[in-house]
Amino acid sequence: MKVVWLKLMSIFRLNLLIAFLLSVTAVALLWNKYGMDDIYTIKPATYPYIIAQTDSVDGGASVLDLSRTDSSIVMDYELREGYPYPYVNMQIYLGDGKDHGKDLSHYDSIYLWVKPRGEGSVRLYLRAWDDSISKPGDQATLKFNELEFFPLEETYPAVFVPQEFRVAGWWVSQHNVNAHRARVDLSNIPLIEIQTGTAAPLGYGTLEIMGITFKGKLISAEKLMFVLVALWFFTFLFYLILRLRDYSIQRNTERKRREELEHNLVVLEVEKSDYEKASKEDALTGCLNRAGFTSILTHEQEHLNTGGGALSFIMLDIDFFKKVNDTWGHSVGDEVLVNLSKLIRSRIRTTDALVRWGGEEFVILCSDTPLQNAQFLAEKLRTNVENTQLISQQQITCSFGVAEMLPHEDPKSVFDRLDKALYSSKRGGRNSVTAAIKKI
Amino acid sequence: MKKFFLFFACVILFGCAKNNPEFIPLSLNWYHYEEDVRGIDASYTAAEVDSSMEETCLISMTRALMEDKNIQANSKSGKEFNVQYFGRIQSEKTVAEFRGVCAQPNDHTNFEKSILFFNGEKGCNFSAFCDKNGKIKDLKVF
Repeated sequence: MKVVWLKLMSIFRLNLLIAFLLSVTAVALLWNKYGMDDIYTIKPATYPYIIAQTDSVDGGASVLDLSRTDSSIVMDYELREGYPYPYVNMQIYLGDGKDHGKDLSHYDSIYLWVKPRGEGSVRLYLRAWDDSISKPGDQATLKFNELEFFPLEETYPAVFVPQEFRVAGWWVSQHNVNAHRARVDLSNIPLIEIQTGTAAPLGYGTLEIMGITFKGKLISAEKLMFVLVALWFFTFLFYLILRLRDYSIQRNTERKRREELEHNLVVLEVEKSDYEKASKEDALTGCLNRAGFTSILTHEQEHLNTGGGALSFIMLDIDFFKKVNDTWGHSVGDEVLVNLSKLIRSRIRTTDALVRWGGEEFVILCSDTPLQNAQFLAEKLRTNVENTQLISQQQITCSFGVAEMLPHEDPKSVFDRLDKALYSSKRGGRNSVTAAIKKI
Repeated sequence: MKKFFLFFACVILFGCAKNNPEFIPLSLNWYHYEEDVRGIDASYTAAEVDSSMEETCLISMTRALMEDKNIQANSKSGKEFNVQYFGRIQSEKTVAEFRGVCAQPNDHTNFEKSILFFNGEKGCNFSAFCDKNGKIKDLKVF
């Protein structure tokens, strides 16, 4: 089952991969749209790090009474003349409240539950620590990311996006901040302030704050898209590498298989050649056998019949070979055959063919040779055999018959003549050459 | 008239019949005479016959004998000749002289050493010369 599964995987892996990626992409996009929420809520009713502040720190005379209910915190205040811009505020500390606050940069909306009593604007400050500007212990150096709004004109809760914040201009000029540094930065917020706005009238007022909620996504849509694109890219890159590896392995396998096949082919060719050779050769002497002779004869006959040179045959028979076998044994007889064939081969041309006709009989096919030349060759061979010590035990001689084939003649007729000529040599006392000559 | 048609039919039949050639065996036992040629004829002067000339002449002689009518005459069952040859000077040129005689059964004379004598049987003797180019001259069968 596992093997079948792996096989299916290997066949359809691209389809499966695309299906997998599409599924992951769809799930991720849907999850990002309808889930994947990152929510941070501050409930002032229970949040411990909240303090009240008035303009008295700047020389003003405004007063503020901060009280908690079960679900909110209530700011009862009286804005009085004194400070040019009278105000009261509520400070909510995040993190250590100094230089290590909370990163609110990944939230894309801010919900503020605030109920005012009376008209007037409200300011929301997200005070940011900036390493290049802020100084430890000096709260005034925390960047003023501000938003001013009229609660009565907003929905409940009021909803804002980070893009609606700006850095307070007076703070920028007061701290001589570089324009590039004067951007809204919510990455390190140690302090949130909810303060009466510039349009808040003098006199009594109340702000009831139920909570602040920051909502965002665990992964932003941009990041998710980047991740998905990267996922698709690296998956296909990985797939490509796998394909290249597979291709390389396949190529190597095919090369090995091809080499193996070529090797086998060579072996088969050699074997075929050996078998062919063996089927056409006499195992003992290495001469052609009758099967080998037939193919050569056919070729030579065609040559003769199409006006080629004369074709002659010499048939030779070892004299008293039976006696050699009977006297010295068959191994000596074999030695005679081997040595005789070696001797003859060394004396004939490469275009001639030596055939073991059977037993102690041999035939030499002499291409492009007329009868008289074949007889002369036979005479020379006869003399060579007579003068060569083929075996140490005794002298060996041969009797020869010579005949020339006529164009379009049946080979049987030629061999009949050869036999007769050879018989004539035998009858005449052996160790002689007889040619079958055409009677005039 | 009937006889004429019969005769005519026979002529046609035999005339169109395939004429298969007949073959007879011819054995030639070659002996290169190694002794003094003056033993054969006192007027002879010995000459060296090189192997090339020897080969050429033996082949030419074989051919000449094969094609000679007189050699084949009275030899239905074939003939065997002992052929002795040697080199000598003739008209200031080297020639190979061939002397042949029908081989007799049980005659084991080595004609390389012994002079070959002609016998009296008709058509059983021959003599010829062969020049350097292998041309056979004066083939006489007697």
